[in-house]
Amino acid sequence: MSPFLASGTADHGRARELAAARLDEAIPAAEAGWLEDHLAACPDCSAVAAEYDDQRSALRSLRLDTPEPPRDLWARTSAALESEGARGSWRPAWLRVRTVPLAPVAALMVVTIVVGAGLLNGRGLFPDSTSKGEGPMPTPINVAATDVQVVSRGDDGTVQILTRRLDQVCPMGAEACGISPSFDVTTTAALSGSSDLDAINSPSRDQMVVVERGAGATGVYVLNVGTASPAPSASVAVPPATTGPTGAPTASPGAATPRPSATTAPPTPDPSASVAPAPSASAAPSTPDPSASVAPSPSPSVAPSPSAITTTGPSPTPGLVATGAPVTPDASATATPGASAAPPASTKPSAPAPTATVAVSPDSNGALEIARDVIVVGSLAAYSPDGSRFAFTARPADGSVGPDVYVWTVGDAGARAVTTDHASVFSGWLGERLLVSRVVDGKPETALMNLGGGTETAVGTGSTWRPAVSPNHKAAVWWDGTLKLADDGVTPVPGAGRLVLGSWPAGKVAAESQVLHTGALSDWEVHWDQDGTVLAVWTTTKGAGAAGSLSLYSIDPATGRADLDHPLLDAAPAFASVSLEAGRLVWSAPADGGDTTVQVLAWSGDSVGRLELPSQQGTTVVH
Amino acid sequence: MVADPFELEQRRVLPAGLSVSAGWDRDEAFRFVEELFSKHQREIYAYLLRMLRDPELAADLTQDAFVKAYRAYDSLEKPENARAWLYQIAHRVALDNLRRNRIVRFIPLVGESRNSAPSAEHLVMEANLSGELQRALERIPERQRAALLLAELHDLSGLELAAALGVSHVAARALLTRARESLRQALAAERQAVADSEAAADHRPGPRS
Repeated sequence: MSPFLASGTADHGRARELAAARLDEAIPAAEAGWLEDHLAACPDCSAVAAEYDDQRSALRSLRLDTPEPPRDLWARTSAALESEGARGSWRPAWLRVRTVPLAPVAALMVVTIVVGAGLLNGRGLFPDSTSKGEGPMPTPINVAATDVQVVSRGDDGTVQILTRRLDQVCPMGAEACGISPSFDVTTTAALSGSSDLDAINSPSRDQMVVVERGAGATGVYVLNVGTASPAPSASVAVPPATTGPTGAPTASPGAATPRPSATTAPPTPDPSASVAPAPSASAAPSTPDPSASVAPSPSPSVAPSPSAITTTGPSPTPGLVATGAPVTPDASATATPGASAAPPASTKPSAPAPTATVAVSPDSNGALEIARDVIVVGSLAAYSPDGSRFAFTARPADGSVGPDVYVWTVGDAGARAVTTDHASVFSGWLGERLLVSRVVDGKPETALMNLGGGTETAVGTGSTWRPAVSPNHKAAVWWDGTLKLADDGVTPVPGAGRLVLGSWPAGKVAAESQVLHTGALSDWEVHWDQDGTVLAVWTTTKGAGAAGSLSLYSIDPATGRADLDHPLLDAAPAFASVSLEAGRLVWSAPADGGDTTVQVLAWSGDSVGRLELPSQQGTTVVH
Repeated sequence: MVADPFELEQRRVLPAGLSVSAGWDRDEAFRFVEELFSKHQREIYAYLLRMLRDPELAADLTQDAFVKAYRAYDSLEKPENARAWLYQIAHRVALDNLRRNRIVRFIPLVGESRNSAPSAEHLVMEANLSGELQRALERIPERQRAALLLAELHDLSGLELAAALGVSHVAARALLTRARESLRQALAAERQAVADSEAAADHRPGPRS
């Protein structure tokens, strides 16, 4: 409704409208004449017309105090432009003021990025070398201390674990701020080979599962990565691995604990308890070395058996050095015929003999092989929340049958299959229960398995594949669509459909579900942070080993919806294996010359920063 | 520790195989936006500041507007329309922000934020034309405010104004006309509020300077 109608009769309204309009453009002569007549006869309208004139001069007087933009505006803008141009789809979402509607995450509330004009000197986010040395360094931002860990192969093929203690990052837009862009601790594990790696930390960070990937992928190993502050004992009960063919137990539980001294290492508090829930201890007749399955029990009494350890490095720290224990994924020979019938060590020439283990770093880490001659399927593999179990999906390396879900119970000698249909994949942990997605009659289904009781319950209805459930169990991200067989002919992968965020337990895809990705996907990862306030989604449409695309979204705590319009990170190129923890996101991305760069995005309080750690090809973020 | 942190540049990372998907030349677009920036940054910043009344936010949104201009480079058909086109982008950025935040930033009426009644002299000082006008501008709808600012302070012609507001020429004129009346009423309300405040000051003991 026109404000003019409020002013009285239609004539008065028309007069005021014309009096306003004539300021902007000439009005037709007839109307101008009528207006003059009206104004002459109507003091009120005449006063209003005068006010319009005054208003115009008042408005124009505001020109006198035209504000000056900040002097660094071009530096900021060109940095953002540079980022646009140089980084493609990596949009400068961080480079703008952003208010994230997250009550609990003050951390991400306001991101104000100010790039010093002096630093960038108008050259952009990543100044070229001609700007070397110009201008002051931006000041680092303090963030909650966190460890960033990656794994890669050393020159000799050994597994290197690189750790960077991080409590500062550079402001957004600054490439450097005086923080050394390097890892500060390198640990070499007693594993070597040539395949790509994936690595998963246990919740207490005293163990790491290393998965070999790619052509010739064969094994899944558990490394004991003792830290300075030992974690709760329940999760450190790695059994002493046997030495395989020689059959001589060489490592003790003491060695398996993350204590600094091998000789004084006590046995783990209750190794038998950790062994108890492991069916494989008694169900591993096919294991060539039966001692592996019973090792935990007697071993406390032989705790000081350091012979294999003290020879391993300059610093005689404990390490579980035995490798190659031929523990077959042992659901049974019939469950995974391919696995158990797989050719022996010839397929894994790099498996080192236990005594050949040479640690070139302060820590000597042993490896327990919990699965061999398998191909681990998909990028999802995870410890249960309490760290007592580890689940992954694998199929026999010979391709004879499709994937099953494997679970390794800490303390066991090997992982065992918990499904036998050769069409199941691990979808995640819900507390101590296991989410498994499988193909039934060509359609996706998801079930919740109770490992203790061996029972399972169907969850979701219709096509729910690989749901990733939020920490509060109220929302999940899942594939909603059809499945097809991958090129290997046995592994189900998404066909047509979409990746959605919806309420959990998943019913039908509700109208309010949000679509995160439409169309075929070859793999994806979904990570919620522990509070469920941010969601990281990595997707790829390419084959294993190629870079996919990583986005980070804030979640509205009230509605559970993701703010898809304002991603905190928008489709950054990233390899699989993304690590999201409170206050930081870490991923690896392709770099010039085939190298890899490790990217850290960290936030704390009202600041956000980043750090880029150059690394070598094949580096994978430990998650 | 790396001796020279800029050594990192030697290894700087460019995601492989990624580029802005566009049929336009990135360098050309960059140069174009650079020139656009040097010509118009002051007025765009001033417009956004007048709309949003927050210098830091205005600076960020100015940056935003030029980044969007870069992205939309190929949508500009005639270079002579660049200024209006840029204003259109800035206008959208401003409205998006206002809508997203729905923060109505009223400058407190004179005296309201103080514990004691202000002096008459103070009132005279504070109630200057500019402050009164600014407060009145805050009170009118955002699109009307934008139309007035663009027409009166930023010298956009009728067609340019229509382009910047993203509406037809006729609609732009109508919006402007409504804006003048809205502002007139808002100014009247402001003056009344100041008068009331003044009257209250006269009836209350207050510090006199």
